[in-house]
Amino acid sequence: MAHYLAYSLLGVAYGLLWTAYWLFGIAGVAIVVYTIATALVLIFSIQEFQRQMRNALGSIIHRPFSIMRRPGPRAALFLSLLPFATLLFSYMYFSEQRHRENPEDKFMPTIGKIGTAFLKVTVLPENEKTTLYDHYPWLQDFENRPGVQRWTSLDRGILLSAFRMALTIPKNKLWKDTIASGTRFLEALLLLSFAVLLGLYMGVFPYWESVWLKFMTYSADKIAPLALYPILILVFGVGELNKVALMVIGTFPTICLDTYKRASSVPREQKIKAMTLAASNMEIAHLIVFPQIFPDVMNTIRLSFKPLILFLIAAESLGANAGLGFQIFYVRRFIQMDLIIAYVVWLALLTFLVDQAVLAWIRRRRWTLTT
Amino acid sequence: MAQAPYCLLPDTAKRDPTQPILLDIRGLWKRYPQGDSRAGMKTVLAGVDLAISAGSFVTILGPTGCGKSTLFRTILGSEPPDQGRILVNGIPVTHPNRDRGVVFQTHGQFPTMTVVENVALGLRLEETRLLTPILRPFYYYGKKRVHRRRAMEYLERFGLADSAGKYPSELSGGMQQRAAIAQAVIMKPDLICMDEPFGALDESTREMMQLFILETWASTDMTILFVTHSLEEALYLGTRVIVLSQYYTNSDGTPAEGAKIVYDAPIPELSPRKPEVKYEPWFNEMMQEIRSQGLDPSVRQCIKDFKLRHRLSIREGEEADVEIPSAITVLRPTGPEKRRFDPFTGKD
Repeated sequence: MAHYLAYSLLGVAYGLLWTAYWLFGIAGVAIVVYTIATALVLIFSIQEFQRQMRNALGSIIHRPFSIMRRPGPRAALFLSLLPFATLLFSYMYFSEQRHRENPEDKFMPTIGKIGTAFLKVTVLPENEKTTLYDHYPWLQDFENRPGVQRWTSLDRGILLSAFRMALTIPKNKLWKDTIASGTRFLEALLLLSFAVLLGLYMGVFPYWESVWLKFMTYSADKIAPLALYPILILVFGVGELNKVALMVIGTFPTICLDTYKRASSVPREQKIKAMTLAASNMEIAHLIVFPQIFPDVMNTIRLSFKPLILFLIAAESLGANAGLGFQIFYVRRFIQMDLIIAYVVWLALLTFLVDQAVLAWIRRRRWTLTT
Repeated sequence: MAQAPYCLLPDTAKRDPTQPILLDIRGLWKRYPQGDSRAGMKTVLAGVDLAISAGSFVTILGPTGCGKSTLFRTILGSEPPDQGRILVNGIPVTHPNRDRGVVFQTHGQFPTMTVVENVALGLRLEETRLLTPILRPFYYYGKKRVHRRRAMEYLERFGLADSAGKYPSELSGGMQQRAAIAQAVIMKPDLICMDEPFGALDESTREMMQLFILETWASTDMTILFVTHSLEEALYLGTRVIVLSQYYTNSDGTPAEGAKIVYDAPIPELSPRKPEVKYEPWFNEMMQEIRSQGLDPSVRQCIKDFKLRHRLSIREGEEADVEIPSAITVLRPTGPEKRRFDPFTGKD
């Protein structure tokens, strides 16, 4: 019974708002909303009314807003899909409206246009006038071999087609950009392993900590790396190195300090026990301390993927020839929003995959900490 | 009220004279800076002298807050003494070494390795270096097999053969401590120092572990230094009991500053003993004697004069004769110099 009351009240409110908008425009909506809100506040501030309403509507009001109530699996799935669906459907609605007014609209392309743009950069080689034989000079002879000719008949031809499609992948624009950005990303990760090493030694050896701690905390962590980027271009030249340097400088102090904190919080009893077992200093650092902190360090690195990619895109936007960020900012000048959105979604997908891969690696361990 | 005892002179004859001296402590002083630096240094250990012979099982007792752990860490080598020296087999102690094994109360094992790897860790660390698996792989993996076999011998002896491939987090507390003891024993050190190893265990496991450690000690020729706060455990396990206390009066009447050894005696029946000795008269007499000499005297005074009535049992018109003796205020230890308790007369 209480359900019907609440739903009908909502319906009445919706009707009022629609009428107000139709009659008086947005001002009318504002007035009606204000009036209704004031009335509700006045009503619900009366304690007696609150008590009665709580008893009458208890099941509806408390269900979503109580701490004790948990959604079932289907409700949870629906609710978690709600923001995605809202975003998608509202985008589809507004892009469709704009498309109706102006079919050549470039600002908010429809989903179909985004998909087409994505396929264009994925499936087709960069220059549409070239063929696959221009990109792979050995392909013609390879296909004329008698052993391969047997596979061109109708029911086996699909394998050759798949092979040719696979050959198009390294030549398409998306792949080239991904490789370029990915190379820079991996180079930065490789250099960040030194941050882990430094943090480890800082945590284990007090003299080394005295040298580096104040430097890392007060200067290295507090510099805005993007503000430093022009200096990096001057120092490292225009090329790959300044982008990698920007990424590393931006995330090195965070990872170093986090590793240091974790390494120094390994209980001292374990280090002393290791010393009684005839361990040398480096053995304690690498065999005792490091395996314990490694999962948490990997987690920190995973969390710093976000600023890493941020610096990557920012660096590529300013001075690069290839790469995902470069491509996004390059086609921005031609307002090819369909390509930009496609690239942004692709970047998000890559980030998600790398994130999940690292998480799966972290979860592989069988041991759990004793405390 | 039993008077706090006078400080005893070191009597190294308490140790077994037929055995060589293993641990020799002379004039050990240890000070820590007090909370605020302007108040100066607080003495924790004041002139501790001790000699332990090889093959003995020495238990160190003491109330909480005395320098038990400090003494332990100084013997182990993880903290340097401010004054005095410590010799193990004639060699001065500077840092933790493979000559002094240790078993702590918690964090007995390294969580990232299986039990077998933990126990074999000492052997591996002694014989191979950090880069040996990369530079000399055949040598390394050959040695690893040998170490694993020796570790399995010890695990079988300690009853942990089934949990060899498990990680320490999968074991119970008693099994973890047994593995930690195996990890220390496999190195055959001169001295094994144990800092309340059974403190975190429940009562039945603790009794089982007491028998286990006695069996281990009796079957090999190790020397054990066992720090505990449990009176019964100390008297049951050891060949010699040492009580460290900061509640004493100096022979010239000056108040106590830091902890000294106030009681040092061999335990009558030969160790290892049957658990029934815990009920024998000499056991309880010794416990009483140690209690009177080592523990905080104000606690005993409290227990004798304790008079408290619950406010709900007080009828109307009556006064609550809650006579809180002033010595209760020192139940929370604020340091010897803030006490108002006069050890001579028993009043404040």
